[in-house]
Amino acid sequence: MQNKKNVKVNEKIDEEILDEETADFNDCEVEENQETVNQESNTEEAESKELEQLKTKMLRLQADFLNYKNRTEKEKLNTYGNAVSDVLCELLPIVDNFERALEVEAPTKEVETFKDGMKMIETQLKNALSKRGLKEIEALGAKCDPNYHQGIAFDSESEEEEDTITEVFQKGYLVKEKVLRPSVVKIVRK
Amino acid sequence: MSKIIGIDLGTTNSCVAVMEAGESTVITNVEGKRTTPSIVAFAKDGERLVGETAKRQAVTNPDKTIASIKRHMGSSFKVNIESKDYTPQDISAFVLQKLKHDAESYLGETVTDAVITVPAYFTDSQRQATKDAGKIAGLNVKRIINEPTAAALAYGIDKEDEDQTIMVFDLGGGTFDVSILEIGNGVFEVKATSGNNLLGGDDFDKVILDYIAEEFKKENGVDLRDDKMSLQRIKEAAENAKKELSSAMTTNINLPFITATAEGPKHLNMDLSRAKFDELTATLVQNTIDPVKTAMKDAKISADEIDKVLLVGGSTRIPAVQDAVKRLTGKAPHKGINPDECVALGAAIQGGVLTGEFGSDVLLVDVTPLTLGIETMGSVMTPIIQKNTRIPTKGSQIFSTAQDNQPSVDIHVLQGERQMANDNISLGNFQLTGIVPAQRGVPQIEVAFDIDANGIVNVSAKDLGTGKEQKITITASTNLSKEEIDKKVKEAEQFAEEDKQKKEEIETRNNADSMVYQTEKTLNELGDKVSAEEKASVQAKVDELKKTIEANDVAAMKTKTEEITTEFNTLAQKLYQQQPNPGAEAGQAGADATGQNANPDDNVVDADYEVVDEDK
Repeated sequence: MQNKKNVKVNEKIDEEILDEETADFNDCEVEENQETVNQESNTEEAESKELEQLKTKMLRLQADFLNYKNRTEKEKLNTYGNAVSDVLCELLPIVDNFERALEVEAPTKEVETFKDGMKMIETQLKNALSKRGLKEIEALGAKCDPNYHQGIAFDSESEEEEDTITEVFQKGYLVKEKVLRPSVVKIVRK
Repeated sequence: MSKIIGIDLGTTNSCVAVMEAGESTVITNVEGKRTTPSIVAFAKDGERLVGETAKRQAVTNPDKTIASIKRHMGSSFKVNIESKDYTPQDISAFVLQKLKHDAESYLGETVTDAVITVPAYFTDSQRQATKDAGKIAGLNVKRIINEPTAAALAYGIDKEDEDQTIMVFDLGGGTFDVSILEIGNGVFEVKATSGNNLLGGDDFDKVILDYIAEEFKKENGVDLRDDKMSLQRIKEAAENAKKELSSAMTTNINLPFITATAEGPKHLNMDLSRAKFDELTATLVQNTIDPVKTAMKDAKISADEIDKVLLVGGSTRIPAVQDAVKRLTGKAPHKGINPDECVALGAAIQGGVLTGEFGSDVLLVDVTPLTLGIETMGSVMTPIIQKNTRIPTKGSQIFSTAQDNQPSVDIHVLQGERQMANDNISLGNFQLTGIVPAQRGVPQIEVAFDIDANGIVNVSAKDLGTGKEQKITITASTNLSKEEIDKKVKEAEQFAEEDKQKKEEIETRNNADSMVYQTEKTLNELGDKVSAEEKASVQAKVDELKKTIEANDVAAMKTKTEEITTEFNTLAQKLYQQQPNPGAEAGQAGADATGQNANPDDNVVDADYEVVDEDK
């Protein structure tokens, strides 16, 4: 089969030569042409192989690009939300400390008034945060769920069911269903 | 064809990366974090937890929480949970499963193949166990590579020509490993390893925590470590302080209402200096020095023979650690790549090599560093390909002639950021001849730039009317060094204002010129359809405009042009009412190169021409 192909090609090549000038069908010429044809078909093969490789590469790159584009667009939409979450997260210790401060008993009327003022500031802070979507994780009385709660101590005296949260050491918070910080709790362990 | 992900399966934390278009990137998990704790737990209801959630319930569920399973890989150790036995491979597989699932979420495609890293000292059975873990997790582990090798790949060490001896210093969360590698011809050989697999960042945290607690006890008589919540708070504060001291010389630890005593609430407020931190952690740092010396001895090399030192693991961010390494090896350690992630990045690179994505024909994308364009009427440069466009790329624009019956156009190829042609680099010149005689602005000459992947610039000019085309190939367009290129860009910024003004002046002039031409042409065409007075008044204005052009009075040109515009429009209307004039329309069809032309009738950019042509 191969030979036939070569011969056919040979003929074509020779035909072209014939067009320009009448050339005799020379045996030597045929062999030479055959070699050139072989070489040519080899380079043709190599070239077509390279072409296939390049095509695949290009298609792969295109696909990569589309995937990357889609992912990046999604990430872009989330960037603002993520930035807000980061800031909210950093403000949480301040919320904690406000609450701790306000738990302290006021010994005198003046301190009581001062405390009232601080309470108002706390409310202001909490309102600003909840406007941004900050929500407290329900913990007290609920069953400890590691997706939301971090247990660090045991309550062996409570009558409640095993793993029920009996004390919240540090409140946990969510933003848009995403856990910013888990609740740090005490759970029942008999 | 699916991607091969690179996995750093660490003792404390794991990290996953993948190759995309020639670069390796870290994959964030579904919780949005770049690393995942290597912890597995079984909840009360049998639910299996992996990662952050498993870590979170470690204190309340210690019997069913498994951490640092890597320490047992390759051994017959078993974990029994709910009367079921799990091998270390099974547990690691749970971690790998989560990493696989998260990678699929991130990439949006199935992931089946992976490259996983292991410590250089892992035995055959330990490596096999890691491979098995991958298999159990549904991953086809294409290659197991050494962690220090992966780090070297991430730093691109294998790309360098000479043979090298490198030391990889890996101080992670819970383990310390030092390896000495020899790299030559892309082959990595491990010469020696040493370390301390019970030394890591957590130990540094503990030292600070104890210091804080002791200081507070001295002042207030209360040990904060006794209460779970205050312990939690100082633990977090200690870790934060450690991190801060890697860049600051001092940090403040501020914990109000840390505890309550009979006297009322107590606050903790103290400063910690880097000097004090170094003092407190000196023993720990020293504990890293001995293994380094051992490794060098085993590899039979001295400090001088080490070519490079690579840092891996978060704790290598600590300045005292870096200083110790520097003193010991005499080399400043390489720290350009995130030390928490470089092993995963290197594994991903190996994966890329295996898919043929990386390696000998790296798909590095080049850009053209400076803007390319041609010179147009008034000696300005009209850009056609903006700087920093990724190549290969193409760009073209349609230009026209500047004079009536202009027989040829001269294409002067320029490179640079300045507005005036002379301030830019001339890359070459060629002419397109045989333009059919026509009014100026009528012929359509398409000038196209074609830059191939090698940076070779082909510029062609084609007369869309005759089909005649002329080309030029420029091979050395980017023979400027990076410094020279930066300088040119900077110059352009410096002169931006000046250049802008100059260009505007030229445009005004071109507009005025065009206005003169168009008006006179229209007047001629109208002939006696316009009254003698109108003609005279318009002609007078045109003459005034001509004078301002000669005087090069830019402001005057502008005003006069505007004045004539209204008159011209009235005239033109009259003309159109008579018969449609193909000439004028074609003139307006030419492309507007600068986009700044105020005059809508003149949006043809005229190709520059040489006086020489006219004389031909």
